[in-house]
Amino acid sequence: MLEIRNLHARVEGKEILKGVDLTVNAGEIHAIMGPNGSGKSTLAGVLAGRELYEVTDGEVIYKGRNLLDLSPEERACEGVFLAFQYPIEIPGVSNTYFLKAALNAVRKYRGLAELDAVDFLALVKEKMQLVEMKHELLNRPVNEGFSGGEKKRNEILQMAVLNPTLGILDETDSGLDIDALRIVANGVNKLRSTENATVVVTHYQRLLNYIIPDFVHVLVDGRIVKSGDKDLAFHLEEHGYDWARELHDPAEQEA
Amino acid sequence: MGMSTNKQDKALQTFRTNFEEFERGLNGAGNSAMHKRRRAAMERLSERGFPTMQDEEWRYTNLGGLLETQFERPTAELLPDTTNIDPVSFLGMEETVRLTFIDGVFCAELSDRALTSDALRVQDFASVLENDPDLILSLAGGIDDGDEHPFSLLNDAFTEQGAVIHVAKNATDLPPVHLLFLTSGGGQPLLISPRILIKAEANSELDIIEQYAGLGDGRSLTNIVVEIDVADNAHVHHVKLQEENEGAWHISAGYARIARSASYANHYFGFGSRLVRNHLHTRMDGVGAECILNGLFMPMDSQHMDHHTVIDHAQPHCNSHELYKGLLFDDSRGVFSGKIIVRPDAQKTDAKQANNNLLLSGNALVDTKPQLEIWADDVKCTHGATIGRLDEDALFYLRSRGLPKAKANSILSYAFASELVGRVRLGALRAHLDAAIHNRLERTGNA
Repeated sequence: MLEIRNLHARVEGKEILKGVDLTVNAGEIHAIMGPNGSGKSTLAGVLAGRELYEVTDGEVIYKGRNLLDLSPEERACEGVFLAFQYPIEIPGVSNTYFLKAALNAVRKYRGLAELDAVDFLALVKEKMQLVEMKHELLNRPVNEGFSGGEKKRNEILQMAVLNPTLGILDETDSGLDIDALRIVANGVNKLRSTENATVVVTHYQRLLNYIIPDFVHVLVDGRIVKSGDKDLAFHLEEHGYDWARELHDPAEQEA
Repeated sequence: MGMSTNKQDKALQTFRTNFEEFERGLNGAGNSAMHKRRRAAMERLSERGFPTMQDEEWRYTNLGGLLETQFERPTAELLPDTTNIDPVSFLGMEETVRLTFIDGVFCAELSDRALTSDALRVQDFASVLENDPDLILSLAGGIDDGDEHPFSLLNDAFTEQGAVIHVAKNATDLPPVHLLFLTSGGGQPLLISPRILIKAEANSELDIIEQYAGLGDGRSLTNIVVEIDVADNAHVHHVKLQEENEGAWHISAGYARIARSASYANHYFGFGSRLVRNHLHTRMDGVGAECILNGLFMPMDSQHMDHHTVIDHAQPHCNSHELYKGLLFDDSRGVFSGKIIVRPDAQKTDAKQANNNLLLSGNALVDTKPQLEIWADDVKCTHGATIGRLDEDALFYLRSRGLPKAKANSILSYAFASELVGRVRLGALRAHLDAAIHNRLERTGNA
């Protein structure tokens, strides 16, 4: 489904990704772990099409197409979904209006009939149960005044409504208490199918107690230095990232 | 001096010639008290002259095209056929007391005063002038700032049409008053000089909608003066819609006096005209008065929209809230100049002013100029002005959910503008405004 080859990207002239290779197949959950500043969020942003990031080398093939040629909205319509680390507040735009406009834009692109208000509301109510979200949040402006947990639930609600094939969760666990973490993870697990794939970007292992990955990759200084199964995450939890840094560049550690 | 002064002088000469012609047509009425006022205004205007961009109050607005245009006073034979005009269609509100004017001339057959009563009298200016000229003289000319705004003098000199609205003491739950000004804009450019006089007696409450719309695309100058007197504990909710065609110049001056515990709210929505200059001057003349000024302007193409407001806190314990927002497209230009005066007696004043502008084009330009003149010491005054572009993070967020770029622009622009729509209390009017905003976004390619 997704094949990343030798991906290099920079932000404001500074190279962040220095040759990432990653293959994700349908039905799989991949976790990308790494210390702060290793390039995790940059990778997520590049996949979603954020213009801030400039790709300087490499390619990303998604469902047989060059993903990097597509605009952010085309990527979304093709089934790429990024759950933001810091969801954006949009004053003056109600959550319902936003969700309905987004869903209908995606449906239109996919050649499906747009949903009317009644059908849309029925769908949203069903999906809201997944993330145990309060109904009143639908009528509030997008993310405005939402607690950290509510914002993250809202991300997963959007994901549930838009039904992507590739979900990318960028530090979805940050700022969540244990109950919210369980609810959010539960939502992600229920959305899992043999047709779609999920990439979980995280600093800590704890989210992976709830979302069990098939593969764990360690990103250090813009490169994946180690891949393994879920046990790799426990190893990182126990030993920290220092040993992984050594894998990347032992000389630097000694200096 | 030099060229620009010539332009100002020539325009003055043209208006003087027009005025002499106007006087000749008055016959016996030429000696009335009303006409003496007109003549005095014309004299003062001749001394003052039209402003140049060297005038501090006019430095952002070039009147060149206006001053070079030869305007004529509208006469009955210039009026268009009214049979195909449905006055309700301009606002979509049925239950109103409506006066319709075409090129500034009252049009009885398109007006509807069925809902008037002793509590709410809505009359056209010309008939009041004929039957009760003292009423007009008592209501007009309450605030004089001809030096800052010479077009008020021009209106004074030429005015013979308009509306006189009187709300009786304790009268509330009244139908909204709708003043509809249609400009035909065909043939010779027209000078349209209506006067609106509003008096809300003690404890009364009034909703008034002042709407300007175009029937054609010709040139005209609408030069209007509105005077509002809000008595003790009365409340006036005033909405102005500016939807004239792009051949029109629109210059207006509004003066409101707000008495003890009274409130005046002015909600302005600007979409139309090639050039707009609004001057709005409110004075809180009684303890505990409140003044709310909200404005939204959305110029496109090469439209120029200039807004000058003055909020005068003359008494203690008065509140004023002002929010003007500009959303500018294409090569358009916007101006906001907001002055707040807090006089020595006006202790415990609470004044808030904000002007926020979004530029949706690299060629659009806005000038914003807050001015505070504070002479009292125990006051709370805040002001802020911003000029920016649509938030990149928010745009990316919307696009990352599948919304095309133009749609994302439209959603964020609408959200910015709709805050002011939400402050209008008549639901039918909010629907009209929503449609107008969406229409503007579509026309500018943001949909």
